[in-house]
Amino acid sequence: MTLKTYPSGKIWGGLVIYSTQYQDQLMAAFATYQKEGQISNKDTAMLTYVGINNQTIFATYVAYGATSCPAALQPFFDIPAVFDGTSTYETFMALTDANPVDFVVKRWTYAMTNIYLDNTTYVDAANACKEFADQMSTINGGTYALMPQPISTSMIDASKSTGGNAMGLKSRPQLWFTVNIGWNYAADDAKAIAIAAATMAKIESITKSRGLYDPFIFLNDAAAAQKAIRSYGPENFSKMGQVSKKYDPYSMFQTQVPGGFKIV
Amino acid sequence: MEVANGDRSPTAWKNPTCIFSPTSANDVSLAVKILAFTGSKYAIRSGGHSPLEGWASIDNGVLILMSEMKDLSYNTADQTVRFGFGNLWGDVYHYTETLGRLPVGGRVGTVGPMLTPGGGLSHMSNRYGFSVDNVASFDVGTHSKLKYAMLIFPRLCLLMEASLLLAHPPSPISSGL
Repeated sequence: MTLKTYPSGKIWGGLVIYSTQYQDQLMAAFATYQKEGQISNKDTAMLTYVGINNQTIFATYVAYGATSCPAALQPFFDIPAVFDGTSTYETFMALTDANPVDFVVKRWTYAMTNIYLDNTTYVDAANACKEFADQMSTINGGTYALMPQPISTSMIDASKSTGGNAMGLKSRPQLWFTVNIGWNYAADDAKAIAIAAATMAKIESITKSRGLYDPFIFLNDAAAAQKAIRSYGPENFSKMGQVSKKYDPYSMFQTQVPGGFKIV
Repeated sequence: MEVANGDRSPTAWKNPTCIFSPTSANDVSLAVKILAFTGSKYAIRSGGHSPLEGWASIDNGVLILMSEMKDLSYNTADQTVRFGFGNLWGDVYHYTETLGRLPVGGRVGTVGPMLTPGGGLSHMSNRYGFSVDNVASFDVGTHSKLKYAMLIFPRLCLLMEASLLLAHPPSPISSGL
């Protein structure tokens, strides 16, 4: 595979740890960031895990080309932190290597749903997860972490301008709301996976009632039962069916390879 | 079993009948020809990060491990990085950052490049789009519609890279898609 590359250099960022008592503020900060900072500063990003039943939030922030915390990320730094490991690094890998996020979970999986930008709904969606986090706590080794991923229209526009909107994304700020769950024993697989699915159903009942539900499923975070390719919309789904017939005439990848999302 | 499962999520552990670790595109091509002929079920693993059952290993089938496909090079002329699916993002970034460049890839170094055909959310996406939008080419094609093929055939991408399409269906993506 050959990828385009872009200039790299100094980068500011690192790991910040908060208590989940600030979960509401964090979710609101995502909304503020999407309305302001993510638009004004395209070189900022984060990877966040809200460990509900560990009472711990791990957030890694980055700002390419910056040597101090940019204003765009300020909403996240108005929240009291337990630990702030941010600093300036010579390279992204230096930042990553200096800020490891190690989770001790044995079995794990994920599921995702997509929420249009709305401050109140971000807060409510995260709070709606509490009952499912509590259910995971009843399972041996159960962990439950939210991974809210703010998606800007500039990401979607950049995607559309390079080879078309193959994932069928709407030009609207959205939050790819992923839940990561962990547990110890195979005997609990079905129960754990059902808790993740129930979480998605609960959040979607909220977002649908408010007109803030988007059907897109991000394949990289999708549960096995989620129909990622169908979520790209009827036109893309049909096009992908044609591509499959043309380049995989014996349906080898639909039938002979059990893994991977299928055209269903 | 260590090779079959490693430190991956046990939800994805399987017991393959045969593990094949190609070191060249020709190796993969030959393997796929044989699998097409025998009709055997198979799985393909790049970084092996996915916890989903059956995605990167298999019971009663063949597991193709891409871990030895470690080619990694930078093209100064068009500022692209070309790498085999045996590399993780950390390998790619460590290399390109010595040259002052970065591709739009994973947010942690321990994830593998199969992130890209899934769409691929990167820390650089806000400026440059998703990882899949930043593919300059596969070994078999450069047409813009390649993105559709990548998204529909996430597993196929690994093999496309190793010239499956030259070996199996006789219609190369480079000329038609």
